[in-house]
Amino acid sequence: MVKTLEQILESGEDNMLAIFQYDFMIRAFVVGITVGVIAPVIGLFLIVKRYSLFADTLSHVSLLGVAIGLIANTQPVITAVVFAVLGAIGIDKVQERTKIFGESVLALFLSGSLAVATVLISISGGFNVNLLNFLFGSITTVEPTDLYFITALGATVLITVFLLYKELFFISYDEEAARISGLPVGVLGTILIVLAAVTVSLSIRIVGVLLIGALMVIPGITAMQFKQSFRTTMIYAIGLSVLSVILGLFLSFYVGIASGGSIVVIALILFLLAIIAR
Amino acid sequence: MAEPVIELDDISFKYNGEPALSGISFTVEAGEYDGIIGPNGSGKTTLLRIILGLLTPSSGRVRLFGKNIREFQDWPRIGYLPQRATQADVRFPVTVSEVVGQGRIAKAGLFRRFTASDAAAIQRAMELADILPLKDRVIADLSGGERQRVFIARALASEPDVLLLDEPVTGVDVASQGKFYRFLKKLNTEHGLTILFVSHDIEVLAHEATRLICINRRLVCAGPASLVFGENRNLLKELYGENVGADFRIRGG
Repeated sequence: MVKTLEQILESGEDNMLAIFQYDFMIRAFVVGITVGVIAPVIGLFLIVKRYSLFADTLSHVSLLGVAIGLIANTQPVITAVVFAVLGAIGIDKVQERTKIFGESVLALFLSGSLAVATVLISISGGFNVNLLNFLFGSITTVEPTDLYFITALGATVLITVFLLYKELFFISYDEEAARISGLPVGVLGTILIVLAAVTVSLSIRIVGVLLIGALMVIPGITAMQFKQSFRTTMIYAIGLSVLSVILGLFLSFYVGIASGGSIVVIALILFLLAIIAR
Repeated sequence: MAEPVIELDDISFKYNGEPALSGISFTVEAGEYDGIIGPNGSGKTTLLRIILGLLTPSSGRVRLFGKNIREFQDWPRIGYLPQRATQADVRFPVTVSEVVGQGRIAKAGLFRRFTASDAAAIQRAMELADILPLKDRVIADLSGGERQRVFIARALASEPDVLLLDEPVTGVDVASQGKFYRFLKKLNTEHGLTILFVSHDIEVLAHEATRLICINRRLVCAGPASLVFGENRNLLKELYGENVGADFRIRGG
C-alpha cells in the first residue's frame, strides 16, 4: 500500500522509521546506496586522471538516452545506459582520431547531446514533470523493474573494479609506465570509460542528470583531503558518498525536496567540514 | 653466452617528415652499463622511446632479448625510470608501497591478486632502493631524492634484467645524485643488471658507464668512455658543436 507524500506527512507517521514503510522509499534506498558506492569509486579514477568533467558530459549524453526512452515509451534507464556507453566510446574515438582538444570534445558532446535531447522533447510535446525528475533526481520514481536492472549493473561495475583495481589504478596514475610495463592500456582505458558511462546512467533516477557529476567528484576530493593511500582514499570516498545518499534521502523524504539536490548538498557540507578540520 | 639485451639495426625515425634519427645500429649485451649521450634535440629520448615500444621507427629493426619488438611480450624483464619521476603529481593520493607495487602488476597478471612471492619482490625492491622505512608515507611528503628512489624501486619490482633510465637525476639534489649513481653501479656489478642510461651529462656518464653511445641524430661514436673521449676530442665537437666546455660538462638548455 503506497501512500502519497502528503498522506504520509499528514498522518503523523513522521518518526524516523516511517520512511521504511513505503516500498518506493525502500527502492530509493537500495538504488541510492548502489549508486552511492559505485559513483565515488569510478569518480576517484576520473579525478586523478584529471577527467572529472567526463562524468558531466556522459550525464548529458544519458539525458538524450532518457528522452529517446520516454518518446519510445520504453525503460528510460536502459536507453540511458545504451546512449551513455555509446557516447563514452564516441568521445574516446573522436579524441583519438581528430586534432580537436580533448576538453573541447567533452564540451561538444555535452552541449550537443543536450541540444538533440531538447529538440526531441520539444517535438514530442514539451517538457513535463517526468523529465524534471531525471534532471534533479527523485525518490518516488524508482520503478520495481529499475531496482533489478540498477542493482545488477551496479554490482557488475563494482566486481569489474574489484578484479581490475590494480590495473585501473596504474593507468590512472601513470599511463605511460603502465604501457611500458606491458599492460593493455587501451583496453583498460575503454573499460574505465564504459564503467563511468554505466555508473552515470544508473545514477540519474536518484541523483539526476545535472548533479551526478557532483556525487562522483565531491566525495573523492573530500577523501583526498585526508592524504591517505589510494585504497584508503577510495574507502573514505565510498563512506562519504553513502552517508550523503542516506542523509540526503531522509532530507528529501521529510522536507520534500529533489533527492539529487539534498544528496549533493550533504556531500558539499561534508567537503567543507573536511577542509575546515584539516 | 646470453642473447643480446637490445639490438638496434639501422633505425631511422621521421618526426613530421623531418628525419630525427637515421641509420642507428648498436647492440647492448647482458651485464653492460651503457650511456647514451647527446645534446638536447639529438634524438636520444626518441631512441629510448623506440626501444620501449612507445614509438615505431620509420625503418629498421628493434630486437629485445633476441625477439623482434613486435612479438616481444616479456615486458617485466625491462625496468624503466622516466625523466619526470621526481615531478610526480603530489596531489595524487598514493603511498610509497602502492607506487612500488605498480611495477609488479603486469608480472602478476591481469585479474590476479598479488601472491606472497609478488609481495616479497615488492619488499625486496623497496629494501634495495633503501625506502622500506618510507613505505606507508604518501608521495606528497617525500623529497625529490626519495621520490626518485621510489620510482627506481617500482622499476625493480618486476625483477627486470635491464634498467632503462632517461635523465633520471632531474630535480634531485647533488648529494642524492651521488648516492643514486653508487646505487646504479651496485645494481650493475653486484646484481648483474644491464643498464642503459640516457643523459646529456657527459662528465657523469663518462665516469659511471662502461661504454658510451654518442647520438646526434645519427650514431657519432660508440665504445669505452676512455676511447671515446680520451684522445679524440674532435668527436666531442662533432657531437656537440664547437661550444664544448673545457670540463666536458654540457648543460642542457
